[in-house]
Amino acid sequence: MLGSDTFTNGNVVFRPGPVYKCATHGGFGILDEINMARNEALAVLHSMLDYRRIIDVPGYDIIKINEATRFIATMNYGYAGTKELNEALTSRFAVIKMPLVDKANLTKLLTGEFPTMRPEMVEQFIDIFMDLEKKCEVAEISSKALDLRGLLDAISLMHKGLNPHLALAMGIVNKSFDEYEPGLIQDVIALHLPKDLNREQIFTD
Amino acid sequence: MAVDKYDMKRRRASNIVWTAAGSYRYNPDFLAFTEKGKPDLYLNAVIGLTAKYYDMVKLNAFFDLLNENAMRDIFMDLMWLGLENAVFQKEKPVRPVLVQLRQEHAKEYFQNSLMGRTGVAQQMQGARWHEVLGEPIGLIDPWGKKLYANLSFGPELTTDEVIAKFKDIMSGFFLSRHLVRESLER
Repeated sequence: MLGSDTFTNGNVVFRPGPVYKCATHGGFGILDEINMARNEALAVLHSMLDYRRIIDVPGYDIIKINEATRFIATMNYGYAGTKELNEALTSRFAVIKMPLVDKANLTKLLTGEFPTMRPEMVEQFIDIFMDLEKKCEVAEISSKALDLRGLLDAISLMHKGLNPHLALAMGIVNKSFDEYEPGLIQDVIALHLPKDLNREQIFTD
Repeated sequence: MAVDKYDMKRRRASNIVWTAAGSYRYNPDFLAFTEKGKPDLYLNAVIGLTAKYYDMVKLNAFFDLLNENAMRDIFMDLMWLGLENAVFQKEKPVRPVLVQLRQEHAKEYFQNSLMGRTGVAQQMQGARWHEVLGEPIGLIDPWGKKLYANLSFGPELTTDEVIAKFKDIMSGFFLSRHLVRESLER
């Protein structure tokens, strides 16, 4: 993040990393998916993010960060495979909680990604996602099945010609390794999509 | 382990009800299973849709009333048959898959064992599923035909109207004539 040592003309020199460059030149630095990073690695940011506003590059200088520097960190809280954020790091940010995607935005997303999808099918796919979301909220299923990316991938596979139920199994159902949960997810799908659904019934092209 | 499996089947059936109801606050008094003991997708959806469209406090009070009746099993089956038609009509525009699920359920009904399907409720159920499959309903006597027509609750009925209609069915078709008819059949 800060940078690393490198060879230039036979000498060991410091090669600035993205955080260092952002801190010295100003601008926005995005620390994407911050809860996937190791907390020890993030500790170097502490002095930069609190009242000190400095970066201490071990073996090199201590630099004061540019007044026009802003850091934005993003994360999906509770996502499987992520870490709990260090409290010291969290206290250095102002936190904005983003709402879950709503029906209107899901419609916009699906019609944008798949402009040839029939409107009645857009409704059904959105309802599947919303039903799964409700099941997650009440802890009837884990969040593994609430996979918007998986749903989009599945629809993309349907557009390529894969059987819709097989595509949804690969994109959503099979991501749950529980013994019973896949049955609950399959029932949600069966309450929206007919068994013999085909590509022509979903897309106009 | 058997208890676990039983609980998981109940959980799956309840989840179908909740999904159709769109609410997890509803604690269903009824759950439907196939002859093989699997949760019945269509009938559990009907139970959930009943909770979606009707006032379950009023309906449950009416079910309690039916439960005290000597003909409770027949009345329960017939009440659900009436509700099935109403919620199907109500939900079909937003959930077109119901048409296929209903037909699949009708086919399964006739594939299962027909043993013991001799009562009036079974006659009415058979008529409903024949009709769903586009077949003659198989009712011959005018009493049965008229009862069947009355059990096709329309989607426009409110909870109070559904209850009132069924009370009319009970008094008009059963409390006098059915008992006579049943005794004659015996």
